[in-house]
Amino acid sequence: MQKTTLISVWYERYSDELYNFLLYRVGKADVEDLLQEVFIRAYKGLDSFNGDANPKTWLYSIARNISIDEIRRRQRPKWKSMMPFESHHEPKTERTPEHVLELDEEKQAVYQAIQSLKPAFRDVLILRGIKEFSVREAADVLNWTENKVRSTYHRAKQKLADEIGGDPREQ
Amino acid sequence: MNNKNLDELLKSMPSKRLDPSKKDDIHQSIMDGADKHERQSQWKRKRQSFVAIGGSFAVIALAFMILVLPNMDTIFTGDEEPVEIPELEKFDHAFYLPTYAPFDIHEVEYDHFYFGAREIKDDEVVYTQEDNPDYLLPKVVYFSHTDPVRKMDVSFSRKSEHGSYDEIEDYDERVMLEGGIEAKYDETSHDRPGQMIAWEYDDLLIQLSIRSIEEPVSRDDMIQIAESFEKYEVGSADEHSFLQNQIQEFEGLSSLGEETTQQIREHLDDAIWDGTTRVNMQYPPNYVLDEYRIWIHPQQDRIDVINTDNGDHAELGEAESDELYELITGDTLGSDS
Repeated sequence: MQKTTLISVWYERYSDELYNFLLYRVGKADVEDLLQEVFIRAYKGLDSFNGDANPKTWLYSIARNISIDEIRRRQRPKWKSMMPFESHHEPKTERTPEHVLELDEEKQAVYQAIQSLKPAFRDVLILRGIKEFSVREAADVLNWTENKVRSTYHRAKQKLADEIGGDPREQ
Repeated sequence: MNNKNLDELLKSMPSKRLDPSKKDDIHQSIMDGADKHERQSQWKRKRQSFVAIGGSFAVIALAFMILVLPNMDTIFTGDEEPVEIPELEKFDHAFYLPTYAPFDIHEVEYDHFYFGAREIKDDEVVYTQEDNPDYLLPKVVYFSHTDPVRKMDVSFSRKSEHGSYDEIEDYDERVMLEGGIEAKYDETSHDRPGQMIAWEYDDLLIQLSIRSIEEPVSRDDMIQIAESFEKYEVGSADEHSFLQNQIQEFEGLSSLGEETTQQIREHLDDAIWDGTTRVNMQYPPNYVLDEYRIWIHPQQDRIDVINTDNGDHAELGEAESDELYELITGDTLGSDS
């Protein structure tokens, strides 16, 4: 079978959910370029993809790596803004992810709290909590042990509860 | 806030679908990126000319990548011949195939997705478990070569092996098929129209999708095709409408005399080649002469040629087209139209 056909099938099947993952993970609205990058990297790396593995978790792990790179890139000093041709990397519109996701007030607070957490907490909250991945799937994506997924998820939820106001043991 | 509430709150965080036209644009960019990557790696692998990319009759955005098909000695003739799909025999479940579509079918072929292990051997990726049907998702592909060009895929997976009907979440609509079978339906934007419908029958997940260059088929058409499915068993293709290829082996231009062949070659050698390395044609060539693939424009007014040795393409001018056509057929170009 053609590699492009396989990628197209995966794109058809997973692009929407990966788009959402990026919206939550990167914390910006303009993630379409990153979504494209996920599938181009998948295409280039297809030969290293183990056919027995789950394409979904493999694509998520690529998306996560791209998110990490992107956040790092966006946090770099602003010298790049002096280069006019880099401007296509900047947001094209005033869209915010909260707006794109149509979040109400409560969910905006959750979204922003997730963005304020450390990357490992963010990863596990999005995968386990929002995307409802199994422990096994999350472990695959993050390349962690299942125990690490469980304990990190537990701590991440406590931290998130602190951030959005309230101790999980309070009520 | 207790843990349970927090779990519920996280689960309820909304998700957003990509805008369909944007989704298609991104897909196109990915395909362009893949194409670019492929060209770069091909350049690196000089000794591999055009064969390495893949075994199956490749369709990308419904365009035939002529250059990866060096020996496509076929021509669209209109004669029908039943097509058995012996590859389906190795699967231990039944197959159901359409017996109706609101367009002509010219070519039917077998394909599959491979999910098994891959190994790199002599710089080529080898599918080491391709003989094992457990690692294959079979599909039957139908091509309609006349305008508007369409490709119809019917793919099968055993329930719960590689995705089940319940797991298909991104098809927007629920529709009812004859016999009370529920199906999920979705379509992509009109830019590169595609329609998809999926349902479960006989413990099989059946997914039918149609891509058209233009003029999408309607939702009702999709339902009608889905309802036309009938059981197919290898060996009974002549009883199964639709399992016919209207494409015959083409014998090249060997029936022409040596002198004429030489004249044709000279014509082609003298043509103004435009130096492009990759041109996509939407249908198989009308004629084949050694390394040359020759297309008569549907409007019967001009001729396109691709040299498969170097990938170069030429669109012949009116006078050159006339002369060449006359050499090949003894007839005047446009006399058919």
